[in-house]
Amino acid sequence: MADFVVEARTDFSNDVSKQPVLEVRDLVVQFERADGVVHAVNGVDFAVRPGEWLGIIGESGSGKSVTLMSILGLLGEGGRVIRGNAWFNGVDLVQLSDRQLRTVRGKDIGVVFQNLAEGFNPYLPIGTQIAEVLVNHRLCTRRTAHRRVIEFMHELGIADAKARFHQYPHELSGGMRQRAMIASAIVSEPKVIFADEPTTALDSTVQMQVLALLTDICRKRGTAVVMVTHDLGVAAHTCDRIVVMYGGIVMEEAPIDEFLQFPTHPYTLGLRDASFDPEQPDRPLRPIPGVAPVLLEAPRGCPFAPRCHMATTVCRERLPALRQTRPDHRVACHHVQGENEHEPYPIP
Amino acid sequence: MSFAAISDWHQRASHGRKRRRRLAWRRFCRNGLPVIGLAYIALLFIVAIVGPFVTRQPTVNIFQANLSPSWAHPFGTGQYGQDLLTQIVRGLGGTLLIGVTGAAISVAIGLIVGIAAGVFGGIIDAVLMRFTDFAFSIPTLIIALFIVVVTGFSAWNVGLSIGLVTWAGCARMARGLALSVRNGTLMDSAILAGGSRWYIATRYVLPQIASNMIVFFVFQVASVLFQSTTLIALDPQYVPLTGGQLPPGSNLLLNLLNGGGGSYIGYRWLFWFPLGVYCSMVIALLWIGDGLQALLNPQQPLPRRWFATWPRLRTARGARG
Amino acid sequence: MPGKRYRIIRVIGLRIAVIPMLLCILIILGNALGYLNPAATSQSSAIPGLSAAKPAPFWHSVYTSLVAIGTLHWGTGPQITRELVLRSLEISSILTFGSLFVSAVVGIPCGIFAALKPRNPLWQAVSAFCVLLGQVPPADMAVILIFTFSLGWHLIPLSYGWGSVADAILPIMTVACFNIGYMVKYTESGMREVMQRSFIAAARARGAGTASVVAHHALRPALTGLLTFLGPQTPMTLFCTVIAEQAFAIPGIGTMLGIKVTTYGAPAFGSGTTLSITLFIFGLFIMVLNLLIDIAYLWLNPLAD
Ligand SMILES: Nc1ncnc2c1ncn2[C@@H]1O[C@H](COP(=O)(O)OP(=O)(O)OP(=O)(O)O)[C@@H](O)[C@H]1O
Ligand code: SF4
Ligand SMILES: [Mg+2]
Repeated sequence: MADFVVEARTDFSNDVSKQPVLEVRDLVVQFERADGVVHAVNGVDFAVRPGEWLGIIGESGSGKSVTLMSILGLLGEGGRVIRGNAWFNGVDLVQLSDRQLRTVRGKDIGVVFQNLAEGFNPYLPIGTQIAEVLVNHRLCTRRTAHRRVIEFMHELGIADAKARFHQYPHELSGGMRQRAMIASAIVSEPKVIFADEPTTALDSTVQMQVLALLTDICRKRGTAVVMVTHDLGVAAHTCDRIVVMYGGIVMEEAPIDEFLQFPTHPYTLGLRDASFDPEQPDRPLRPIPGVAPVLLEAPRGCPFAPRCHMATTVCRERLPALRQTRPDHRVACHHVQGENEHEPYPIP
Repeated sequence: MSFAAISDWHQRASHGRKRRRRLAWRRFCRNGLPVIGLAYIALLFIVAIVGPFVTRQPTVNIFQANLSPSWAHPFGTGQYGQDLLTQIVRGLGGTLLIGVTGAAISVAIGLIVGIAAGVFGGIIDAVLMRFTDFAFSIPTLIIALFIVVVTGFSAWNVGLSIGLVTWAGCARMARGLALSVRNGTLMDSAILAGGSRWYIATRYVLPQIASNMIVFFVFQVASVLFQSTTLIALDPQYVPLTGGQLPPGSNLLLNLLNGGGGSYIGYRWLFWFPLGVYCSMVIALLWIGDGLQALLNPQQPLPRRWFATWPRLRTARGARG
Repeated sequence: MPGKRYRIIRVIGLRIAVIPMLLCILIILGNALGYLNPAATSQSSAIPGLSAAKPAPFWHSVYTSLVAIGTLHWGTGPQITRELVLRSLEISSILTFGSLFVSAVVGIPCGIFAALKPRNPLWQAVSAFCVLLGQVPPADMAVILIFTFSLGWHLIPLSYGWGSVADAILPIMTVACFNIGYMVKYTESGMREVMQRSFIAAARARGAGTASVVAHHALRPALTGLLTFLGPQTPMTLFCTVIAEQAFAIPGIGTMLGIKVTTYGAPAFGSGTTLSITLFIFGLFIMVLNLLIDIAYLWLNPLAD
């Protein structure tokens, strides 16, 4: 279904020399809500290299969107970054003031939003909102912005771009709106794009079209993409590296081939068993028991422990750290052997 | 241990009604102001109920007229030497009666019209909504004034007349809510199960919109009180700046409001005390309404006021946005 | 966009077409209510110069009201002439629209800042004060304003009646205080609601600053929210105007119609004709105000039908 994607994939696992464009270290985010403090993100580490596609997968509520939004300082009311760094171009985005961050948003980091119906202001024409990036960053004047946006919409396969420019969001179909959203993220040619479930709300044909478009354009410009998705299949076909999140921490991180061949973390294994595998169509799907918790307390042990079949006392006592298990493959679990460890983790 | 506790919390939150109620109460208290308002209104109700039994009708004594506040007369005395505090305490009941009857009548009419329009739909909906539009564009207070003139001046009649003309907002809101319930799946299942319209309206629609209606009721009490002050200010006895007179036999706080206006020149307590009691009452009602409204959408963070009692987190980065 | 403009014109046309019908209903209603009034048969009339209605057939009294309204000649006596009616209408419109304008200019920015700066004590205090202003009864507000601005600080000369610009300031402030209250309240809550929607986060992600987000993205949705609450408030605005006219002895429409309630049993609304004229005038005012609000709503909101 997606030959173009597989061909286009570049192999970055050998190219260690490349410095990451974006490096997130030990990010902790909390929300202050009327019924308590929600510990949405509890120490996330990942890095994105130039031109790389990083996929973040995980259950609903595992803090994927919050991680991305906190990097840009776009948390809603009550959200705080407690500690952590997000290095981008040698500056720590977490430490920047809102005014300084504004020069980064849109220009250096573009965002494709998850919520289709609410992503665009219903009170303004689509084209105005796409051109806004260019105008806000003074990349060009209003008139040239108008021309460039229309050209760009053509490139994205939006038919009749001149008329579409003046239409309101509710007059466009979902696929069109998502293309426009992609246009608004890419038109300023940023270095990194955060795509928060760019295709979840679309039907599968449109989903493939939009995805192909996104890959095409980003590969052409060498843009790095951080893509949040629920769909392991989509991730497998588009991403270079996968980060699995649960309960606000990174559970496993590996290049895609490695990830597909040797998944090791119990949560990843659970996810694999719960999703459909076209190579073994007869295998029964086994969902993970239980539901993802709302984190009203800081996790002391492994967040997955209440649902994990391998859980022991140590899991409930101590937060597992990300450890190297194979070259370029990191796992946070007490019961997965590390690279140089030949005996199981000692139980105190 | 902690995560077991969390999943336990999850279960309790989704299953325990008691827990939910306690959470709601906590959320209500968190903001500070609604609780103050609630306590104040409760105090006023107690005073209004107990007051007439422990005070006597203020006596007229010309030699004690217009005394400034003192220990004997904490709020001073009025034109004819009546104790102002006693007058306010005895007038409070009628004022609260106006607010509550007016709001109750308008919410009742609005609920019936709105739910009927929402549940039945079709031609009934169209007719009732045109009727509501008409009710929106009539000069309500003139009709209310007329009803008061015809039926006679009393707290009941003022409340009744205002309630009879101000139901349009409630009807429109109830219809919107009823429609949103109707478009949900619960309602479909009720219709498929063969429930009658009456059954659906009372068992499905009413409970689901009741909370919104309670909030509306609180705001409506404040609104009815305001309208009744306007109504009573149209009294011909009220002559600005030259000293209004209390109609004999009517003991409303609202009358004191307008009657005291003329006494502003020399006897300011006659102006400020009734006005202060009235305004604090209405503001307390608005605070309660705000607090209840915050309960309705728990996902939204409460509006943070500088005087609210929020625990503040020390953070690496201040709140953005 | 021609489509949008066409839709607006169609909707507004429909609204305008309904107005005369509603006004006729109001006139009939006024006459019908007049028959309920025990005072209707007495000889005194609330409007000076307008003779009290004699017991007459119902449709005749409706016809009388229609003729009176149509000719703008509301009495047989010399006091109420066509010029007086037009002039008092003009005065009342100046008061009503002036106060709406003033309160919008003051109240909307206050509401916006109070919503944007939830931790700033100054703006929170301003917003709370404005809500308090809106709850003070207009009759008392008039007294407070006179004693503060005219007699206390001597900023505005105290004069009764109508003539110079200075005469209009305090009455307009009286009515504007009521309007400011709900304008601040609804602008603030609307703004706070809009700022939490995700398209605002999307606009920020495109690099828009706070000022640009508010001006380009949040203002219009917040104002449409305000407008939906504004409609039901128009009758109260009018009655505050009437009270202000009374307090400042301004010969406006309320003074001319002699709107009053009595607690001593003396009649108000001498006859059905008077009542229906009153209903007609106030209904007209309210409908025009609501029409303007509808036009503003359609103009602001591309989703409106
Ligand atoms: N504005 C907010 N206020 C309070 N809590 C929030 C807020 N936004 C997110 N959260 C909490 O943060 C946690 C993580 O949410 P997040 O949106 O990151 O999940 P997600 O992984 O993106 O899920 P999905 O796949 O459904 O998008 C959730 O438990 C949620 O309740
Ligand atoms: S640390 Fe323990 S509980 Fe967590 S995933 Fe590994 S085995 Fe399961
Ligand atoms: Mg998400």
